[in-house]
Amino acid sequence: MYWLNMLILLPLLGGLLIGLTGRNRTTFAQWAALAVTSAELLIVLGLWWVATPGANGYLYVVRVPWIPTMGIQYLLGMDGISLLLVLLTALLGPVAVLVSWHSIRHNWSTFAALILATQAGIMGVFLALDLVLFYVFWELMLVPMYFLIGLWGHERRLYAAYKFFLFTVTGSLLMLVAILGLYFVHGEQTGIYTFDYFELLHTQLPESSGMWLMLGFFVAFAVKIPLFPVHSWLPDAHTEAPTAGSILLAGLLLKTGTYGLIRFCLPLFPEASAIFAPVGMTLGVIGILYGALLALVQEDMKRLIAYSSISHLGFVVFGIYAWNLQGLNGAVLLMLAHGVTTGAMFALVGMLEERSGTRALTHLGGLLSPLPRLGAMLLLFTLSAMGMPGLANFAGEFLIIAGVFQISVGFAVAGALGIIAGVIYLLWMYQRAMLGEVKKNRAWIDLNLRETVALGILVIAVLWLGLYPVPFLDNVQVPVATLIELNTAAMAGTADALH
Amino acid sequence: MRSTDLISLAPFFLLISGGLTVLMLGIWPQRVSTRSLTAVTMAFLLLSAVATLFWKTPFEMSSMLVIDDMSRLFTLLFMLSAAAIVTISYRYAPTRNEIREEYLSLILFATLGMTMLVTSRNLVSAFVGLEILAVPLYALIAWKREQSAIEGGIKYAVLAGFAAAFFLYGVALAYASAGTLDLVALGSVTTDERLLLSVAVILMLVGIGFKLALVPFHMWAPDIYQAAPAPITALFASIAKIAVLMFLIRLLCLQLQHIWEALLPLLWILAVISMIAGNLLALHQQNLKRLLAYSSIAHLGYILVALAAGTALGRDAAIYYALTYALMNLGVFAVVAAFSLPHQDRQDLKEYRGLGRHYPVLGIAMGVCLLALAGLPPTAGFVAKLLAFGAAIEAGHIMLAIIAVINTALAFYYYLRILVVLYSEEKREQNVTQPSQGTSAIVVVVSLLLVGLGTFPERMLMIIGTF
Repeated sequence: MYWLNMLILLPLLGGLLIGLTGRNRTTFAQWAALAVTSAELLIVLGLWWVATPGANGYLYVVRVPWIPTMGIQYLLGMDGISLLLVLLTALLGPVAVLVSWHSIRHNWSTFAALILATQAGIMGVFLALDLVLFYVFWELMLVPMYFLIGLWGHERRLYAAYKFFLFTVTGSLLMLVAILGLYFVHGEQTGIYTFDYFELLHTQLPESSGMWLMLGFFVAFAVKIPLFPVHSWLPDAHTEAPTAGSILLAGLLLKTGTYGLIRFCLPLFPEASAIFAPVGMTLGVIGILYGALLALVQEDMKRLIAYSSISHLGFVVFGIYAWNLQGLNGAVLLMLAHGVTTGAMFALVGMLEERSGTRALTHLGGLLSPLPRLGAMLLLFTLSAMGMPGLANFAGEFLIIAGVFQISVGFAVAGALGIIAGVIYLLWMYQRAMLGEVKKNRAWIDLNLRETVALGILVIAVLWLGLYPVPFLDNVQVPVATLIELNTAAMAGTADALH
Repeated sequence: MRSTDLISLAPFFLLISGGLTVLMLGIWPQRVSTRSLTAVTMAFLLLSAVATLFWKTPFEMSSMLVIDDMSRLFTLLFMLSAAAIVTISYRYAPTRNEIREEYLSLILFATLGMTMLVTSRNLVSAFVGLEILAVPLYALIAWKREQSAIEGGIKYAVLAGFAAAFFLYGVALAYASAGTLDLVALGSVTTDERLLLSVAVILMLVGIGFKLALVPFHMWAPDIYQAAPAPITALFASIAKIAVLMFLIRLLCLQLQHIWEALLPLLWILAVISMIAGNLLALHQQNLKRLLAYSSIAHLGYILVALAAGTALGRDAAIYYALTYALMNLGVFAVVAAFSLPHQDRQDLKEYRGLGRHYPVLGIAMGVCLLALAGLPPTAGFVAKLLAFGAAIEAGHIMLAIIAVINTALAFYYYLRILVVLYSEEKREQNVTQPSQGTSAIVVVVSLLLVGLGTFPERMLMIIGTF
């Protein structure tokens, strides 16, 4: 299926072309970037439309030898989970371009090239099934994002960009060690030296080395998600990034971490992950509560949303390590919902900042009457973020809590407390920004057509996810069932070992 | 002398006669323009590069030289890089009007030394090669008439003298242990002579360590990187080091494998301290050339990570890394040379502010080279690191691999810092020299090679696998 290649090559080549030809031609760069991202979205929608699952749950697979001497292939595959995340990636592309239209003032062509390169890298991460190829894309999405933050960010952009890059790169290099370790363990056992995901799934790992290799992967993903002790890059990076950068970071980059857990950590190391699951859930619950508590005291809107992301992604990890039907379904749904909702929130804060010149809640207030459309949009997404039934996040959070409840009531209660805290900080944020007295009087301009279109795309997604999530859940049935089988087998194995 | 001998020696003859011809042009009655001197030098370099293509491999020359695919690959690399360095020097502003017959013939002789090193299968020919390489370098480092340049040249001469002394002592001990200087013969010594031979190899390793600037023999590197004109820094930072390294690889990995296995713990330690010291010293360095000096110390550390594995994969990884290393450094220093001010190289990182925006081609090339140095896919630097770390893990050196990746992560910090400076807001720049087209062409080719070797490494890996 060469359409999978197109998903990666289109933004990559489009970005290259815009970067090379668009110097000093801002309008051309803007429209070209919009065209490329829209074409990408259409391709993904088409793929979704015609998708017919194969026997193992994979809809499309591309397999080309790349470095045969080392057993490295160009292996792309799309199953239901990848499909949904690719859809999210394609959806946020045009939004990121549209919100940057006027807020990016210099070097639009380079900016567009970097946005598109990031998108290509993320697509690759969600599609790659050869571990080296995965690593290549994993790093490939970092560099353009680094420059997006470092060159177009706010005041402390360089500090934030370094911190972001060094945290993630350290994690991913440890994953590289684990990848190589797995490669040699598998090679010694079977005589086949390969980085092929499907082959490596059947590696019999000795217990201790399985745990170490799993931890190598886990560290890389934990940094990206981010989980509690390694999260400190996120508030800085989100706050300092330009709006489009924040959208891509929160909407997509964080999802690569949770996707990695689902795609690699659990299936490659089922035994080690089963042992590790309680730790994973604990880290998740710490993330939920810690993120929520810190969000309560933030004055900067972007920082507040950044901390709320930590909290929501904690939920996703929670659901993944609950490792049952509801938990995993909920995790995938919440990943999509969080991507859409938080993307929209960052876009709205960006628009608010363009108009008022500040993100500080203390300087805002009473903006609902001069900006009714913006206020209404913000209300919708705020309600969605705090888990209002009928909007995107609710279904995911509900399923996760239901899944976790089967494992441990205590954890479920702690998670529910996180939701309550979420209601408090989000409503409080909305109240301080939008209600009350107008602090500054100036000529306010409400959302224009471009901004309405960008947000409109996301409104449709939020409502769809909230009201009728079945089409999305249908896609994840097969992969989730496979994962649960693995868990059952691993638990049985552990139980056998104990007897 | 048979015809095969002549064919094998043709590149050597061409380099020698080239060096002498260029010198002779200096006493030509009319003044020969720098342009034609450069053209003659280039012609000899390219001719000898072509001559290596006619080599019949493998072939041994009276137990002094060995002509095989490895020596051909690296000889070609040396010749072409030397040609690139001649091109860069031609329009390099700080030594304008000083690039005359002496300079160019010294480059030719240095190339001859490298070629001898990489082809030698005898400790004596290796020593001769080492010296033919070192002596031109003293003069080239001190080329500018400045206090610091001369100081650098003398420093290099003294240290290289030390290195040569250690190396010679090692050679003497090797002769004492086995009664031969032939590498193949040394490879088949009996067990009871191995202790003395190990000591001999360690002494040679000290000598080589000086040349490669491994920690703890690295003190000279930053001063001399800074003092030398950028094209010369490109010469000894990339290909000259690789020539010495390739001799080490031939010595340890191809001929004296039993000694290699005995020395693995030593290589392990050298790798760790070179990586850590190199990266830590580079971290807050403000002078770009010094920073690159420290970074290349760290890179030699990564190469030793591969060598410390003691396996075939380790050897291949080291060779691939060596090739990549030469290209990356050549590219970086070519850009430094292109950005030079009229009278000297830009030193401080601040002086590079905004240059990447001003000169897109050089900026992008510098970006590619730096990302390759950092080890980011899809550049050759990534494949090299993948192989090196893979070799370490295969050999069970998990700790070494983890130290290496943490160092790699650390190194990202300073490489990115350079890139950010290059692309930050430009200030109005006075006295900019327009970079020459030759230099631009070279950096473009080097960047393309780096990306090409990173995306399609298969062919090169196959070639290296047959060594």
